[in-house]
Amino acid sequence: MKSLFEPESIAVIGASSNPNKIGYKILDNIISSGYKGKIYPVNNKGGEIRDLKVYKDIEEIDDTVDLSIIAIPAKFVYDAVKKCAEKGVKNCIIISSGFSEVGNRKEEERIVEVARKYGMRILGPNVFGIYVAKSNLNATFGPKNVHPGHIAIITQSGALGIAMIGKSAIDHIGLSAVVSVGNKADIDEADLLEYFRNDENTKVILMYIEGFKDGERFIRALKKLPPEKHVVVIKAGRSKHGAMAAASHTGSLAGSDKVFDGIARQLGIIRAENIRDAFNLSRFLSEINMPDGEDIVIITNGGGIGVLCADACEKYDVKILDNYDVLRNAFGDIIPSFGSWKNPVDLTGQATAEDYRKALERALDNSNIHGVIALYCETAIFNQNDMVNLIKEMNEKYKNKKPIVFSLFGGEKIDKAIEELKKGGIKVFDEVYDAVAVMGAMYRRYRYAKEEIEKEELEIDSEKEIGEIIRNARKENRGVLLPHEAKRIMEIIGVSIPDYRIAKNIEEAVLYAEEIGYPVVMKIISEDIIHKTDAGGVALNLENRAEVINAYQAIIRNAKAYYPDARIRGVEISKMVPKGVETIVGATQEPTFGPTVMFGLGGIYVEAIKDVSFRAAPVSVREAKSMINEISSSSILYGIRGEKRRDIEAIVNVIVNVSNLIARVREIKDIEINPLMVYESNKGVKAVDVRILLRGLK
Amino acid sequence: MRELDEAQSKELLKKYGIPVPEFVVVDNVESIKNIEYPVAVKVCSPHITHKTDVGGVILHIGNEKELNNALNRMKKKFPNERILVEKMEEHGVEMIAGVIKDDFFGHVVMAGMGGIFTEVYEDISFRKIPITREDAEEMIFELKGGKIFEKFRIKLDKEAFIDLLMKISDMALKEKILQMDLNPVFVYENGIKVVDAKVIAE
Repeated sequence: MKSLFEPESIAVIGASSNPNKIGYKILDNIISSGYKGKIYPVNNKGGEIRDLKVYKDIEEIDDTVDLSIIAIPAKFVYDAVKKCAEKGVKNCIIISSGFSEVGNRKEEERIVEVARKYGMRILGPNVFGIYVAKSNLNATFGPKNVHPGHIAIITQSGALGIAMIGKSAIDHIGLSAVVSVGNKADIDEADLLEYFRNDENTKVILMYIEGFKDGERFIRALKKLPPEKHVVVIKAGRSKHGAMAAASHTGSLAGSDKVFDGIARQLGIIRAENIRDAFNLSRFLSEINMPDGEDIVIITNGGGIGVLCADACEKYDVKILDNYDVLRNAFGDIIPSFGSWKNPVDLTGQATAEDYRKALERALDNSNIHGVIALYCETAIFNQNDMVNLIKEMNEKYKNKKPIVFSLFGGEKIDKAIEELKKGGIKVFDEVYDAVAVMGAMYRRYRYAKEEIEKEELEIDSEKEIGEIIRNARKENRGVLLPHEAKRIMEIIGVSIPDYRIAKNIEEAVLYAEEIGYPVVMKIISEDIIHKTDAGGVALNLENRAEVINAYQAIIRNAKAYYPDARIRGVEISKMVPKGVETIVGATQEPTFGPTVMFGLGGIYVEAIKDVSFRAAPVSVREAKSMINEISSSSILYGIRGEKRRDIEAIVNVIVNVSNLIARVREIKDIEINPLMVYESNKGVKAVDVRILLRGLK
Repeated sequence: MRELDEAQSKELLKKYGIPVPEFVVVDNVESIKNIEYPVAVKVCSPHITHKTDVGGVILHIGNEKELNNALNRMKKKFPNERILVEKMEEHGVEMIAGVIKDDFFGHVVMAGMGGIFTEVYEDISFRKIPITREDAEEMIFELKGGKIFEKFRIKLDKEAFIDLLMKISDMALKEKILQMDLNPVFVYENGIKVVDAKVIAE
């Protein structure tokens, strides 16, 4: 990847002398950005462009070429790529469009194939190029003026990417690199993260993503990033219509949105909903160091905006310092009697710039206070110059020590002040929620960085036996495991199930029911009968011998009547479990992100509002806990309406084990435990019904 | 202020054509004729708000003998209260509905998802009375759980629930209601049933 970002020589294939052509704009941008390496324009017309000799063919270049940029019609691209590959070019950026994004998948595959044969990497096709601040390289057909800085942008959309470069310039946002990935025929986000991981110039990676081709690789690349690097993702395709547009747009699937939310939490990355938020967050995160702690103080001159800010802190999970001793010590003597030294610290509407200075210094010099959100509402005594100078001074003095954000609200004078401060690179916002959001984003990564690395992958004892069960099912051409097979797998991975036996006749049924103890449940076992209840193949709550005998006869009779040719393997006798809180644990090989695990409460209402959480599997104990806490109905498990707390540890155990199963045994396509009955603390859980589907079979 | 007990509240609902389970208020088993088992026995008093918590509800009574036992137990426990015997309805999807007279806004009608989720999700919506059918429709649409009325594996009678909201909106002024709680309301594929009701009027 280094030779893509820091090439020593570049060939521009399709270079043109016509200023309206992309082949000219790219060359022009490379030259005017001050690139220090060698530049070789290539065009079969030959001649000269901008005092550079134009080569008729790449083969004519008597030098090694690190990077070639191809901007010619799609139908000529394959031959050009082949020639580059044969020459030993290391990387090739294909600007041209007309490939998989319009359905021309074959040609794209052919291009990648020939490149791979020679070990050449492809960026694109359908891209606008690359910008790298430290190489003084602007090899795009986008705007010329890019501010160098610490944010790397990776974008799947070309037009949006070019627009983002433009916007970053007027917002005074500095970039370390911009890469357009287009169709991602070869190089994708995961490859680029490899480079940015070690690039000291890049503090924040901002990505616009429509769909993933290999979500599992992407997750692995994110996990490898050092915790002090931030990732902000704008993941389009949140809505149904958006997802459809995205899928047709770049020729890749939009992935499951809810799953991505879970993974973002898991990996401590930020998902921004829109471009404005993404820019706000990226800029802030690229300019601050990680704080020493989580105790934030809000300093304000108005009660109302202070309360709004406190609400925003709750929303974005920012902790407000509430230690009165610390607060009184810090602010008690400088607050007027009608103000408040409690957090939010209210300096009142009479506060001057000088009063602000005192309060800010007290806060920022206090080792018990780790960050400040300073708010200001325009008042009659507002003095624009004083305020701007004060903020600049405070920012200069403290910006490398503690995170500070400012939010100013008011009329024309305030707007002017904000504009002036922004130019100076100060983190200032008009909307208080925006100011708090950036703090919240920082703390998400802060908490992620502080987490100890917990073990995710577990060994499964008797993994061999699981393999045998699966092989056996395949031999019989079954895509669904039989209930006792699924239950055996649960036993192997350490998930508690109700005691059960399989009876082949009435005598066994009675014997087993008595061994297990009444009441029992009986169910038909047949791969041909999926809807057991509809077929009259289920009997609940059987309390004695006579009931078991009756039920056995009825079940066999009903099953035969329902489906005369059904293969009946017997009747399952299992312990009728007491009612607990019904939950669902599921796992699946998600088409985009690979193995994922899900948790939610049972019942149709929960299903309707989709109150469930997802993570990429396998998950650690901590992640499993956070999955449980994340659902809105988790309070039921912690005990409401005078009910006792439930055995959350036992659920965690199930989630961890199921996540390992789906991650290790890739032949399993889908696991669903529904319901997983959860009892009071220390009383465990029971997987009442378990369904396991295999890959590639119906 | 008039606090209606469950039987009085349900009588009032019946007057407006709102479906409630069959019930009778009784002293002894002999006075009950033609009730369909299983039944529930409930203490019927305007002063007891949480009947279940005080042991004032016995469910799943399958025959006359069990009913007699249940009535005797109930009378011993609540010697001064009336007792209600009611046909147990098939379980439906639990919703809630109600009316309150707000000090500030006046009468408002409420709809929500029932059961334990009322509390957990606070999934409820309000409108000022009188409401139109469109208002009622929107009230359901606003509920996070309102999706269970659309394209879900169980088909539910949304129209019947809308009718209920319209009717209680109409009742609110005519009956000078201060507060009305219908909880739970069972919603079925066809129709609804108000299983428990409490009304306080001016």
